[in-house]
Formats: sequence, C-alpha cells, structure tokens
Amino acid sequence: MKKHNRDIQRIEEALIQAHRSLSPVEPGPFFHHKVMARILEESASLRMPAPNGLNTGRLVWRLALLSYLVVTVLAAHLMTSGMDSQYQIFWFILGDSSSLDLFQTFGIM
Amino acid sequence: MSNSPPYQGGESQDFEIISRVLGGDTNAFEVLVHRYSRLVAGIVGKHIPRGRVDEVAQDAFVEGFRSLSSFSQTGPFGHWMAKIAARCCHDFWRKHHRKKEVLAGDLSQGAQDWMDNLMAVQSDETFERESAAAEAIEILDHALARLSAKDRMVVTLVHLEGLPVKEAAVLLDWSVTAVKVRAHRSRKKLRRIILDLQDGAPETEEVMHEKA
Repeated sequence: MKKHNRDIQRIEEALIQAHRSLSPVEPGPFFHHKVMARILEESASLRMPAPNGLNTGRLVWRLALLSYLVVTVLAAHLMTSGMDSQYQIFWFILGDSSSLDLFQTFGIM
Repeated sequence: MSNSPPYQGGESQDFEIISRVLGGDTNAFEVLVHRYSRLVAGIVGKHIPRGRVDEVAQDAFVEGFRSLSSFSQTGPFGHWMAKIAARCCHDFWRKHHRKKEVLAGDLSQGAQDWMDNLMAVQSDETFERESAAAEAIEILDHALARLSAKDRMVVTLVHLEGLPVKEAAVLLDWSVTAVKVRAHRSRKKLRRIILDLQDGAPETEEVMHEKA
C-alpha cells in the first residue's frame, strides 16, 4: 500500500509538471474578427424589427396578459354575483328560436 | 500586443468603452476583445483541448457581450472576463460529460510504458524529461476525462495550476469551503483513477458515471 502511495505521488508530480510545462495558448488567426462577427450578428438580431413591421413578440405577450386579466376579473365577478350560469344559458336558448330548434334536433331539450 | 498584464492599466478606459457599447456602439467591443483575448485564451487553454480553445474563448466573449449590462464596474473588467471564461470551460465539460464522449478510447501502450518507466527513474534530470513527455499529457487527459465537470475544474485550478483556494473560489464563483471540499475529494478520485490506470484495471463505476 505504501509503495502504491509513493508511486501515485510520483506520477501525480510528473503530471503536474507536464501540465505546467504546456506552452500558453494564443488566440488563433482572425480570432477578433470571428468574435466580432458573432457579436454583430447577435446584436443585429436583437434590434431587428419583426417581418411585418410590428413588434409581434411583445404584442403577443401583452395580449396574453390582458386576456388573463379579463378572465380573472370575469371569474371573480361571476363567483361574487351569485349568478347561476345554467339558468342563464337556459334563458338564452329559450330567447333564441333558432338555437331552440337546433337543440330539439339533437334531442337535448 | 504588449506584454503588460491585461488586468492593469486602462481600467477607466475599459469602463468608458463599456458605456459606449451599452449605449449602442457595438463595434467598440472590439477594443475589449483585442485587449483581453490573450487572457481569455490563456485561461481556456488550460482547461480545454487545444483544438477547441478558439471556439470556447469566442463563446466567453459573446457571453461577456450579452451580460455586459450586469457588469458592476466595481472591479477590473479582466477579472470579470476571467470568471466568464472559467464558467464557459465548466459548461464545455458539463456538456461533454453528459454526452459521455470522454469515455472513448484506451491508454496507448506508450502511456502505459511511461508509467512503468517513471517508477524506475532515479535522477531528477530524467524525471523532468519524462514529465515533459507527450505520454504524460495523454495520461493526464485520460484521467481528467473520467472526472465530472466540477471536479475537473477544481483539480485543474487548485492542484495542476496551483492556484490558491481563495482565487479559485472567486474564479468559479463558489464559496471557499465548497472549493476546499471539492478539491480534496476530486484529488482523491484522480489518484484512484491513476492507480487503476497503473494497474490496468477499469475505473470504478462511481467515478465514471458521477454526474457534474
């Protein structure tokens, strides 16, 4: 076991020396140009407007937020107003003769 | 390019350039790329195979550009870029370790012989010569490839480069305790791998499959 430890230490020492003796790495040719090309490409894509001239990405998120708010407010209103939705639907159907016919056709009413 | 340390000098100039870049003058970033490319390539070169250094160093600069608005300007830009370069190296190994690309290939006969010969070496001169051999690098790469990304980064910084724990912690953005604990454990793992390589036995499952 002791011999093993000594062996490992020796190999480890040699490997550390090997790592430290490696010559420093220099950036390759045209490194700066390649980096700037990638950065300019990225920067251009960030500033580029949407194909239809509108900033659709932001518009979609705003619309989603608005829809969420409307649904939440409506749900809260329905829950607090004590409205019976089934009763309301029944009266809507009765008030509209064409939907009444349609429901009778399918045998719902 | 001058030989002066890239961290020093022109710090206020760096801040001025950063303000210009944040103001929309993207081309001004090229000055920073010129100034810090050697530093970044140097850091990356110590962790990544030479053929991939340019690619990872480029990633570091692109990442630096992306998160430039988060640079607090309380410290040198070089330190900040050094951290990003270290993180990119870690990401590189994390991806490769996940793909298990590192497990391919066995040690060459030359590398096996090198380990046997090293034990017989008596003089310091011969030992130095053996340490500079290509086989030593092959064994080191082989052993490091068996470590997880985190272990590999710590072993390279603390044991191979001899960086103080505090500096390694800053570079990796970890706590000093975390670096100390990880450095101790990963060195033990590396030793076990070397021992297995020397005996010609396969590496343990635990070491081979440990996740980053």
